[in-house]
Amino acid sequence: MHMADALITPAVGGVMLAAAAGVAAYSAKKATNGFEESKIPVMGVAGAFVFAAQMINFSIPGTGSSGHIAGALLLAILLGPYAAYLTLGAVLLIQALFFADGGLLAYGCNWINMGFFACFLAFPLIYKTITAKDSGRLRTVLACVAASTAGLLAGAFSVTIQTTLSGITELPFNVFAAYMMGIHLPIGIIEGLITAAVVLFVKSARPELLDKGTQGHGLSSRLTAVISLAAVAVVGGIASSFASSHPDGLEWSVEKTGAALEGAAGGISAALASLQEKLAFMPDYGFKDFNASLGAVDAGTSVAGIIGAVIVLVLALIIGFAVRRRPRKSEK
Amino acid sequence: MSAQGSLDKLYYIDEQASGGRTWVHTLHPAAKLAVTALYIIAVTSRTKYGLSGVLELAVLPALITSFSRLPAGFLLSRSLLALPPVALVGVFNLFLDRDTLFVMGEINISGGTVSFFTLLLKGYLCLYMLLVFSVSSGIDGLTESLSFFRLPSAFILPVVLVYRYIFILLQEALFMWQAYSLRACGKAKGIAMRDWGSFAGGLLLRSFNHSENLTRAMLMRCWTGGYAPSSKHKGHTLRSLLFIAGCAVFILFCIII
Repeated sequence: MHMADALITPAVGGVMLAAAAGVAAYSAKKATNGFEESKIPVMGVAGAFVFAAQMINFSIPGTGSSGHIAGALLLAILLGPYAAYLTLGAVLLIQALFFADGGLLAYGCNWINMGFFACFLAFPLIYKTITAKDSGRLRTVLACVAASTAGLLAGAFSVTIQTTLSGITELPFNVFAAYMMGIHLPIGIIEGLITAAVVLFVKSARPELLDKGTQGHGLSSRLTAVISLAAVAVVGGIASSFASSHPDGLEWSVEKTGAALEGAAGGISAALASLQEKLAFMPDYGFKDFNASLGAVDAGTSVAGIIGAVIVLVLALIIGFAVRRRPRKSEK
Repeated sequence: MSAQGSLDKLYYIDEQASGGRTWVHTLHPAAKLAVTALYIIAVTSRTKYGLSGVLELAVLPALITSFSRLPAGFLLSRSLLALPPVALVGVFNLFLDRDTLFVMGEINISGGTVSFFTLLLKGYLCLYMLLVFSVSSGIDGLTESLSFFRLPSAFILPVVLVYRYIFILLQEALFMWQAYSLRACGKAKGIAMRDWGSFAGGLLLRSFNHSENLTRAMLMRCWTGGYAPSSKHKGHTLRSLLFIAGCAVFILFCIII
């Protein structure tokens, strides 16, 4: 999934490089808190291991093809997300300069696509969540496959966004995204299975190696909030403009049966429909009497997407505070 | 396994970088990295139909290769690696952008054709220039330039260690593979599913043994966490600045004309 320099413009490459550098600076600070000098040599050798392991062909039975290990996830499991992110940056730099795999302008994009999603989203939110209470064989395999697939698909989606924003390909965004995600789904599953096999082996041989990576490396609430808001901005603000205009499953099914989906006959349905029409200030995920666009991105849809997400967030917070367990008097 | 081929190419790049004696090899690596970045930005800034503009920019890496006596054949062939991923994305332009851009004799050349070949050429030239930097500077030049740009040692040191340990671990992986395939009487085309964990896990455990020995060796030599890159390029500041200025003027000239 290494992007070449030709697939992005300097503007996109510059922004992604700045983002990757910012995350790297934060990771360097977190990785060296309570600094153990011994961590850096381990990072270097683990990075070289990922290199060597990616040269190994793991035969996939029944297909005649082979797969490779998911380096970022394995590094995160061994070293923790911050050290893993930095190590992956080192690996990607060497791949770009000495192995002609990637590029300099695309370095930031590759670092985010292959490092950020695996280390800061897939590992803490999926792998650690699944293995939190029980890290038995089945849970470990599930966790590795789910985390690897999610990280890879997020990276592939990000590649699609970066290439589309750069105006490199004439392929429509939704077709390109489907093509990229479709290719990377089986790859993510295979990589997850191989990673799970390695993790289970190391767990049986030297379990203390895994403890170093998984202890106390959850994401801080602030970072989780920042990442979530950034995801909302991208998906609600940009990707929503490329949502399919075709009918969804229900609408398609109803159309095929010849029934009318909208236009209630009368009574309560009509009254409620009239009330909805009056209350809805973002009908069809846009604004009434507002048409503007920024290139392929519809401004009304983008703003509606972001406002909708913020409203949901505020409601979720209110509900969360309301239902939060209060300590009983006897517990105080 | 392609590990042996990768190892051989790494050794070759190392030899070229350490053995070069031309004035290009004496330039500060940060200057070469800056020119590489500037060049890549200039190439990728060309419009999608700007094939002639990209061709003009091809002169600069050709000149640098010639002055530095770098192995042109190796660079030209290695740069072809940029083409497959770029072609996979750009090929759709051939089918989706069919409006005629210009006519050559009796042949209508579509916009998609021009944008496809422009994309391929951009990818090729960007990778070529990057390889010129890495072959003329090597890992020492890279770390010197990263240090010049004030990157933290928590990033630079892993770069050095990854590079150095690639040779060792790739060699270990090769020996393990040879032992594995001999046990399979040469019929193994890859690691079988039942052996995935033990093969890669075994390599990982060996890697951690290396890292423990490395850590002890570094700590016993009073390492305190920093990294001091080589400083063999001190004293060529004026030459490096003139190099950057000359390349920048050439690139601007190509962009303006």
